[in-house]
Amino acid sequence: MQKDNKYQMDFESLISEMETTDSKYKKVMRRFQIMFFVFIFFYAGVFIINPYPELTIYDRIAGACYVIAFSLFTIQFRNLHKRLKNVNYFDTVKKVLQDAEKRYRLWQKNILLISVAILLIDAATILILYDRFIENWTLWQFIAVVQVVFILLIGTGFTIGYFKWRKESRPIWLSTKKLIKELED
Amino acid sequence: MTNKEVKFRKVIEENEHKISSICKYYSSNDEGQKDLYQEVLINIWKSLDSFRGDAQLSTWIYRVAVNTAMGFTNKEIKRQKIFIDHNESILNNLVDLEEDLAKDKEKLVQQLENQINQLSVIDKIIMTLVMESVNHKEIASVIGITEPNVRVKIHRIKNELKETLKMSNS
Repeated sequence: MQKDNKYQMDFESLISEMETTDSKYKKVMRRFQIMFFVFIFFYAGVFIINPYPELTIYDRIAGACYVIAFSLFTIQFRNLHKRLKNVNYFDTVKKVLQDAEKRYRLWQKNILLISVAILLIDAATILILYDRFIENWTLWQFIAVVQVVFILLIGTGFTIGYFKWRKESRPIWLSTKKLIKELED
Repeated sequence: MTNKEVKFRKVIEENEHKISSICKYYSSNDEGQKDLYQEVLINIWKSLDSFRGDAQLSTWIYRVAVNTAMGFTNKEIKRQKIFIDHNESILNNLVDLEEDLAKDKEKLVQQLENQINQLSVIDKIIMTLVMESVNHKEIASVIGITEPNVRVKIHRIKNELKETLKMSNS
């Protein structure tokens, strides 16, 4: 508990801090939404619509996987942007705190959909690279190498995200949790 | 004048006193109170369209005022210090002035301020509303807890205040 307190912000600045952070995340979510939306068309153009004869069926299936994954990301970021846009800071104190506690958790409900999108990108990457590297490796060696690289990349992304959450969101999350507990006591 | 402007003017005219009363608790000087008052007005204007009428207008005004005060970045308010008026009706909402506690009003106000400023943020908010004679039902709607819970909290805080005042006066 002592350790937790160290990371908590002053309650006094909680709501203004929350508004600033929400506003910052809202812009980030919008940028990601646009980026993945552009990716959908780019990958659809390169791997699905492209008439280039050397594109194999695997490449086209991989393209479809990328398009679906990027569509899922676009939907996710659109939902997150909408959620932040509709935050009501003038609801009851308890509701404001409960909503914030959900927004600033590390593990969100959307983790499942994001995992599906990541798996689709993983599968698409295997399909695209398969023809180009299979001559030197067995199928299982190839899959293992791709998985190791993929896990390293995802792991790095998650670690960066975790430290960013710990620095920016965790103090708000801990403060809201403490205030909710205080309200319920 | 647009419909929103007309509605806004009406809301402010009807609730001006409530807003300025709340602002008084969060700043000791006129300048700070005016700044907070302006901030509350801006927030009322920004969120007027989102007021769906599921609470009383006065309750919603208190919510905006209290939530704005909680997040207000003015240095003085950042310390979340509560300032108590010397007005007797306000003091009566906190302690029984008939009792010996009221011998030295100046000292009493000072002691109450000290005590209230040691309370948690939520309890401070509750006590500012109590001082404003807001009824328990409305306080429950501002905070989002049940009426019995509000009653218990107020009872507990008042008892603590009374005990501490007694101890420091004896």
